[in-house]
Amino acid sequence: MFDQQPICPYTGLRSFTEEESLYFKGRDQQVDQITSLLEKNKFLMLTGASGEGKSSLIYAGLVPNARAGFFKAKYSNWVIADFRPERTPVKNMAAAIADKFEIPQDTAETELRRGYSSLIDLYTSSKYYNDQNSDEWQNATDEQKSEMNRSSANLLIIADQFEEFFTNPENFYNEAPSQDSQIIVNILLETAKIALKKNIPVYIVCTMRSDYIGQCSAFRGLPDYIGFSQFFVPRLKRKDLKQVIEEPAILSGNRISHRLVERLVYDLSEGVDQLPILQHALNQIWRAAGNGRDEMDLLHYAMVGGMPANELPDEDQKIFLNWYKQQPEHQRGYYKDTGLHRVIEIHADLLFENAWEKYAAEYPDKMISRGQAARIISTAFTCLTKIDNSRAVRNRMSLEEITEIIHSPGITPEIAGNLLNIFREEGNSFIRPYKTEDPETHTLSPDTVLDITHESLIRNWTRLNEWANREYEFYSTYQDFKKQLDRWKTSGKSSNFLLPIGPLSYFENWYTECRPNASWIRRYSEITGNKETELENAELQLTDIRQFLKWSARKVAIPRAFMKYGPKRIATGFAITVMAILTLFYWIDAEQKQNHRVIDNILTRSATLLQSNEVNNNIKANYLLINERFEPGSLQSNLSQFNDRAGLTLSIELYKQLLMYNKYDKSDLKNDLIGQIDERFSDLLQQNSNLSFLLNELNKFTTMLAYDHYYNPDKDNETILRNYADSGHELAMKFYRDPSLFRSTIPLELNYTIQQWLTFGTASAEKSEELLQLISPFENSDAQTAFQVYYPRGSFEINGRISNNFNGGYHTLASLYASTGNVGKVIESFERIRDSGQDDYFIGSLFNNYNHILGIFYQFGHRSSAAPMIAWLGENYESNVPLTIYRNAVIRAGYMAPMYRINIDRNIFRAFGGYFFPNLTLADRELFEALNNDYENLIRSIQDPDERNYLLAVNKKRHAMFDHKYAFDRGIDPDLNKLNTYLDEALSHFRNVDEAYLNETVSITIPYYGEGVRNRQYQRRELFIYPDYMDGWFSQTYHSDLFFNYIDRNNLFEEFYRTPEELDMIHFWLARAYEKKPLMQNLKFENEYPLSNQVHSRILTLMESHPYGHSFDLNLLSLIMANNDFDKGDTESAMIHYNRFDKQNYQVSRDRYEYIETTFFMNQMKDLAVNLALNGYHDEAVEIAEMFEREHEKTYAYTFMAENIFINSQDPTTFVYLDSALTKASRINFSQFDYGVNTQIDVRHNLVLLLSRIGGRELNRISNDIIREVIEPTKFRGLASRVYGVSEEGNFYNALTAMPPTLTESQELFLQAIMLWQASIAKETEPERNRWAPMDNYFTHDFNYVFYLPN
Amino acid sequence: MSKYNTLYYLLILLLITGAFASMAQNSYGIKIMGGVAAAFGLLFLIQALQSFYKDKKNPIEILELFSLGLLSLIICLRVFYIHFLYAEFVYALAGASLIGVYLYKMNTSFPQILKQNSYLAGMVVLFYGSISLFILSMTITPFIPWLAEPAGVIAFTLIIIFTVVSLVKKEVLYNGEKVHALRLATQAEHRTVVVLSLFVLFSLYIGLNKVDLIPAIYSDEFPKAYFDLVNSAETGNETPVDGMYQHERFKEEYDRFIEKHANTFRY
Repeated sequence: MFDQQPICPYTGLRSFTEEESLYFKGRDQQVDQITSLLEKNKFLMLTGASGEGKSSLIYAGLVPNARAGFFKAKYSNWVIADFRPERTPVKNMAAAIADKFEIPQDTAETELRRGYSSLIDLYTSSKYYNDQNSDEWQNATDEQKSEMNRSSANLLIIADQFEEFFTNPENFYNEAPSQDSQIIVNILLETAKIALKKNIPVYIVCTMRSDYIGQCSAFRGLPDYIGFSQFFVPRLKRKDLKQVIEEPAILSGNRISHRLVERLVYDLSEGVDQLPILQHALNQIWRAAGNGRDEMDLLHYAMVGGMPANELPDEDQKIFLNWYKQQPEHQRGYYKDTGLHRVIEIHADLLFENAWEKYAAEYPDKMISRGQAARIISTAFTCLTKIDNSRAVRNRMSLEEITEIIHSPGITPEIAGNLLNIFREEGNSFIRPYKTEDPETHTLSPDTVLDITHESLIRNWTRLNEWANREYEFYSTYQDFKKQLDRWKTSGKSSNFLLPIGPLSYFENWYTECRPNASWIRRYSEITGNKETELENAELQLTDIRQFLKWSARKVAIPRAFMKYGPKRIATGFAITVMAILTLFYWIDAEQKQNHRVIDNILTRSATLLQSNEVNNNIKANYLLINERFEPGSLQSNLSQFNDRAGLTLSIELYKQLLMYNKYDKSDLKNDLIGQIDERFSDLLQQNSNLSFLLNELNKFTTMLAYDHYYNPDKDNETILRNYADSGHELAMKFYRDPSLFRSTIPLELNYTIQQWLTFGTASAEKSEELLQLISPFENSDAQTAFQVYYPRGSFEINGRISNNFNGGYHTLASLYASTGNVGKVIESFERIRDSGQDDYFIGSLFNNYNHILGIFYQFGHRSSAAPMIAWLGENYESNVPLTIYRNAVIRAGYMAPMYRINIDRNIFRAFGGYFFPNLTLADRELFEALNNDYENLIRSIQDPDERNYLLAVNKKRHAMFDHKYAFDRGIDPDLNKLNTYLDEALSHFRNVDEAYLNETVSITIPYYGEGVRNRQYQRRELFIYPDYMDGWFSQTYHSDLFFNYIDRNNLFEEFYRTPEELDMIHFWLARAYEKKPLMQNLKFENEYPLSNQVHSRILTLMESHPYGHSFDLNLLSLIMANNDFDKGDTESAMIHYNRFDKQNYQVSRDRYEYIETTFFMNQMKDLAVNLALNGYHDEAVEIAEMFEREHEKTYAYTFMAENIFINSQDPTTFVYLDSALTKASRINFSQFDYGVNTQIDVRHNLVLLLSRIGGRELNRISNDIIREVIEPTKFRGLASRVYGVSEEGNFYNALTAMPPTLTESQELFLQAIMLWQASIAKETEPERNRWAPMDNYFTHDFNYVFYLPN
Repeated sequence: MSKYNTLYYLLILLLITGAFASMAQNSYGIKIMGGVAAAFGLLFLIQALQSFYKDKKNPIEILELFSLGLLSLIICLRVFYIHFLYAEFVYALAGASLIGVYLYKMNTSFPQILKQNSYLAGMVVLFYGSISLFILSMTITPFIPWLAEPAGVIAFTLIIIFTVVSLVKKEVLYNGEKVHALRLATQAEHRTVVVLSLFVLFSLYIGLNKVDLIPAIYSDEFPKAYFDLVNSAETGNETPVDGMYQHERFKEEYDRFIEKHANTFRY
C-alpha cells in the first residue's frame, strides 16, 4: 500500500545524527572512553583530525549512550544544548540555551553576558535542576517531588566545531579572540569548573580539529582544561572499518558483497578524510545499487568511479560497458581516472556539469546561461570556503550575501538558490541545509545560511579547492592592496604614494580577475554588526580602489605601456595608429583629388578670373560656353555676375563664339543670348551715356546678326537686325550733332554703322538727308565743322590693304547721297576722293569702293540716277568702263562675301584691315538680280559677238553658281530648273564663241589661302570649262558640284576637256574642293559644300575613259578616295585607291600648286598613313610616312599614326610609331621653327598631346622634358596640349598640376576651360555630345591639322 | 590559428591604407596593396604547410589554406598587373575549391546547430552562403561576367542581413552559452571572417566608388590603357593571340619604348 522509500544507511559527508546511531559503527570503545571521561571531568575537549568523525562520535555515540543510561549522572534525563560558534558564538549559544530552557533568546543572551556563571545559574534555577537540599524540595509534597524528579535532567552543552572560534575573523582577529568568543569560552570553562566543584550535572563537550589545538592558548584557562580532559579520536582499525562498511548494510536489510568490503578496506588509503570518503563512496554505491535493492558490489563501486572497469570481473565489465555507453560523452571522461578518493570529486564535478541542464529543465522561464551558472556555483562555493592558516575550511554564509557577492545583473537569490539546490538534494548532500521531503526545504530563502557539509569536500574536490585557493589569493592580494590603498589615503591621496608599474599591473590583474564589489569587500572588512554601514563603507572603499588604480595608471601610462604591452604590441599599436592617421589623410587627399572636386575648384577659381579685366573676352566666352555645356543653365547665372557694360560685351562675344562653333546654330541658347543682348542694349541706350562703347558694341552685334541672318534666315532676327541698324543711325545722329563726342576711333565705327543702317535698317532718303544736314560739308557750315572734326584730311580709315583719306568720310557721304539719288553730290564726293590722290578707290582692289555706291543707288530705287556716276567714272578712269563697273558689282553681290569675316574677327588677316561694308553682299536679293540684269543688258549691247557671247556665257554660269551657293548657304532648296536654264543658256552662248577667242589667255586674279591673291593666265575656254566659277578674287574658286554635274549630265566632258591642260581644270577644282585651311577661324567662312563619292568615282571613270586621262594626276584623287573609303570602313576599296597612288612621283603631285595646296596634299598623305596603320597595313603606312622629306614632317606622320591607333584600339603598335616619332623628333633642329608662323609647325606640341593622352608616369615625364625645351612664346601651346591630353586621359588633378603658377590669367582660364571641356565630354551622353560636336570640332581642328610650311 | 589574427587585421588595415594612398594618387599605394596580397598569400601557404605537417591532418583545412594562398598570390599579381596564361583557370580552380570547403563547413555545422537553435543555424547559412557567393562572383568573372555582379550583390546583401540581424537579435543561448551570431562566426572561423572582411571591403569599395563616395584606386605606373587591357583579359573579354594577351604586348612595347626614350628629350 505504501511505497516505502528505502533509507540509506550511509550518511555520506554529513555526520551521523542521534537518530542514526543504529548505523554508527566501529566506535564502541571510543564511546565508552569519552563517556567515562565526561562523567569524571564534566568537561571534554574531543579533538581529532578532520573527517575522523568527531561530531558523529558525540551525536551518534555519546548522546545515545547517555540517554540509554550508560552515562552515570545525577539524573536519568538529559537536556542537550548544542551549538556551533560560527561568527556569533554568543547568539548561537543563547539560541541553543533559549530553546532548551524555553526562554526568549534575548533573555538568554542577556543572561549569558551577565557573567561566566550565568549558565550554571540558568540551569540551577530551571526546572531541570532538582536540589534536594533546597527549601522547595523540603517543603514539597510527594506528588510535587515526583513531578520535580520527572522534570529534572542533566545538561549537556555541546560546542561543536570549536575551531570556528579561530577560523572566523569575527571571533579571532590578529591572534586575539573577540570579546564574544572570550565570553563563551569562559562561560564554558567556568560552567565546567562550577559543575565539577558543586557536583552539578552540567557537562561540557567541545569538538575541535586537532590542528587548532595550539591556538587554544589564546583563551586563558582553556589549555589547562584541555590538558585536564581531552580525548583524541583515533583512526579506525581494519576490523572497525569493516564494521563501518558492512553492518549498516546488514542492519538496514541491504546486502554488500564481501569482495566490495575487502576492496574498500584495501582502497582506503592512509591520510585524512578516510571516513567521509568511505561514507560518501558507500552512499553512492548504495544508490548505484538501485538504492540498495541490489547487492552492493564492485560493479557499483566502478560506476561511482571508485575503481577502473578493467579490474571488474568479465561479466561485470560487459554490464559496465553497456552502462558506460549510455552516459553523456562529457561524463565518460571522468572514468579515465578512478579511485576511492575520486568518488567525491567525480560526484561533485558531475553535479557541477549538470547543474545548468537541471536548472534549465526546471526553470525555463528564468533562463540563465551556462557561464552564469558556472559563475554562480563557483562563487557560492567560494563564499562557503575560506583559507585559514593555509587550510581550506568551511565558511557559512547566507544566500543573500552570496548573491550580493555574485553581483551579476538578473541573478537573484531565488535563481542562485534554485541552481544550488542540486548540491542539497538527497544523496548530493554537499551543502547544508539539505533538501528533504519537507517542501519547505525545497526553496532557499535569501536569509538561509548555507554551509558546506564537510570540509573533506574542500579537500577532495579539486575544482572547489582551486576556487578556494583562488579566492584566497584574491583575498591576500586584497589585503596587500588595501595596505597600499590605506597609505595613499593617509597621505591625502598624494601622487607620491601611487602604485609603481609592477604593483599596479599586479593589482590591476587582481581587480580584473576578482571583479570585487561592495559585498565582496564587506566580506573581508571589519565587522560592525550593521550591514548597511558595512556596505556603505565597502562602496566607499571600492570607489577608492578604482580611483587609486586609475590615478596610478594615469601616472605611469607611458612607461607602463611599453612594459605592459611589450615592443611587439606597442609597435602594432603604433602601426595601427599610423595607418589609421595615414588612411584618414589619404582619404581627405583623395577626396580633394577627385575629378569632381578639381572641377569644383576650377569653377570657383574661374569665377574670379572671369571678372578680371586681364582676361580677353574671347577666352571668357569660350569658358562660359563650355561651362554651359558642363552645367546647362549656368550661362545665365554667370552672365548676371557682370555689370551692364561687361555683360553686354561678353554676351555679344558669346553670340559670336556660338556662331563660330556652328554658323548654322539654331539653338535656344543662341536665341536667349540675342534676347539678353537686346535687353542690355535697351537699358544702356536709354541711359544715353557711354556712346562710344555703345557704338562699338552695336556694330559688333549688328555684324553678327547679319551673319546669323544670312546663314539662318529668320523673321525675328531680321527685325532685331533692322532695329539695331536703326539704333546705329540714331547713335550716328548723336555723334554728328555733338562733335565733342569725337574719339579717334569713332569715325570708322560711324562709317560702318551708317553702312549697316543703309543695308539693313529702315533707311530713307529723308533720313539720309537729315544725316547729311549734320555732317556733309556740302550742306551747311555746321555740318562742315562737324565733318572737319570727324573726317579731317590726313586721317585714314583702313580699307582692305589701302587707307582712305578723310577717315573714309567721303565714301560715307557718297553712300548717303546715293540713297537720296543725289548723284551730283556723289560725284562731288568722288571728286574730293580723287583730289586727295586716292585713285585706288576707283581702280584698286579696295574692300569698299564705288561699286558699293552703285549698289546703294539700286537699293534705294535710284537705278537711273547712277548713270552720271558711271559716266564720271569712265571719264576720270579709263579702265572703269560700265561693263567692268557692273561686273565687279555683280561679283561682290551674289552671296556672303568671304571678306565679311574681317568684320567679325578683326585681326584674322595680316594683309587686310578696316570694315568690309555689307551693302552689296547682304542687301536684298533683288539688288543682285537688278545689277545682274543691267550688267547683262550692257553685255548684250556689245557688238563683238564672241565677246558678247562669252561674257553672257560666263555671266549665266555665274548667275547659276551664285544662286546655288546662296541657296545652299541659307538652307534653301535651289530652283534647279532655273539654274539649269541659266547653264543651258550659258552653254548655248559658249558654243557660239569662236574658238580663237576662247583660246586667248586672260589674266585672272584668284584667291589663295584666305587673304592672298594670285594673278594667273588662263584661256577664256579654260575659265568656262572649269567645273565651278572662277573670276576675280572676290568670287572664290570653289562653290559646289553644280556645274560638274551639269557637264556630266549633258555628256560635255569630251566637248569641254580635249587636252591634258583642260582636264587639269578638273584637277584644280578638286584640289580647291578639298583645300582645308589650317586655322579654325578660316573654316567658319568656308563653303563646306561636300563632294560626294559619286563625283570622285565619276572623275576617275572619266579619266579612265578619256583619251588623255592617263595624263591626269590621279594621286590627289586616289588619296581622297582611299581616305574616304577607309573612313567608311571599306578597306578593300580603299586599298585599291591606295594602290593607284603613284608613290614614285608623288612629289610632282604635292608640288603641283602653291604650298597651301601642298599642305592639303600632305595632310591627305598623313591621313592615308594613319588609315593604313589603323587597318593593319603597317609596312604601307610606314612607307607613306617615310615619303615625307623632312624629319619634322615624318614626325608628324608617325605621331598621328600612333595617336589614332591609340585612340582607336589602344594597340601596342602605338609605341612602335611613337618610337619612330620620337626618334625623328630627336633629330629635328627645332630652332628653325622659333619665329613667326613657323612656330605653328612645332610637332612637339602634338607629341606632348599624345604622350599626355596615353598617360602614365614615364610618358608624362617625357612630355615634361619636351615642354621644357619649347621656347617661351609657344610653351603655352605645349602646356595646353598637356592639359588637354591629361584631362582626356581622365585625371583632372594631374591636369591641374600640369598648370604652372606663372600663367597669366587669360592662360589660366583658357587651360581651365580645356579641363572643363573634357569634363563635359566625359559625362555627356551621345546626344548631348552631338549637340556640342561643333564645339569639339572647333577645338580639335588645329590639333589634327599639320602645317607644312616651306623652310 | 588565432596567433595570426593580429597579423591578418594589420594587413587588412594596411590594405585599406594602401587603397586610400592609391586613391590619393600615390604610386606606392598600389605597391602596398600588392605587398599585402603577397603577405596574405604567404601567410596562408605557410599555414597550409604547417597544417600539412601536423600529425593530425585536416584535409579540408589544408585545401582551404592552399586555395586562399593561391588566390591571394594571383590577386597580388593582378595588383601589379602581371597576368599569365591560364591565370583565370588557376584562379577559378582555387575559387571552386574554396566554395567547396565553405559549403562543406556549412553542411557540417548547420544540422548540428539546427538541433539547438534554428536562428543560429539560419545565420550560419547566411554567413557561409555569403562567402561562397562572394568567391563565386570573383571566380566566374572571367567566364560568366554577367552573372558575377548579381552574385556579388546577393553575397553582399546576405552579409549585410547577417550583420544587421545579428546586431539586432543580440545574444541567444547555444550550448548553454549566450552567444552572438557575429561572435560565433568570428570566433569559430577567424580565417573565414578575414576572407569575408576582405570581400566586404572590396564590395564596399566597388559600391562606394560607383556612387562616387570614394575615388577609384589609381596608379600611374603604366598608362591607363594598359590597366584597361589587363582588366579586359582578366574578365575574359579577350582571347590571347599566339599565346599572348594584348596587354602583354602593350607592356612589352611600352617598356621597350621607355627604355629607349626615357632620356631622348633630356638634355
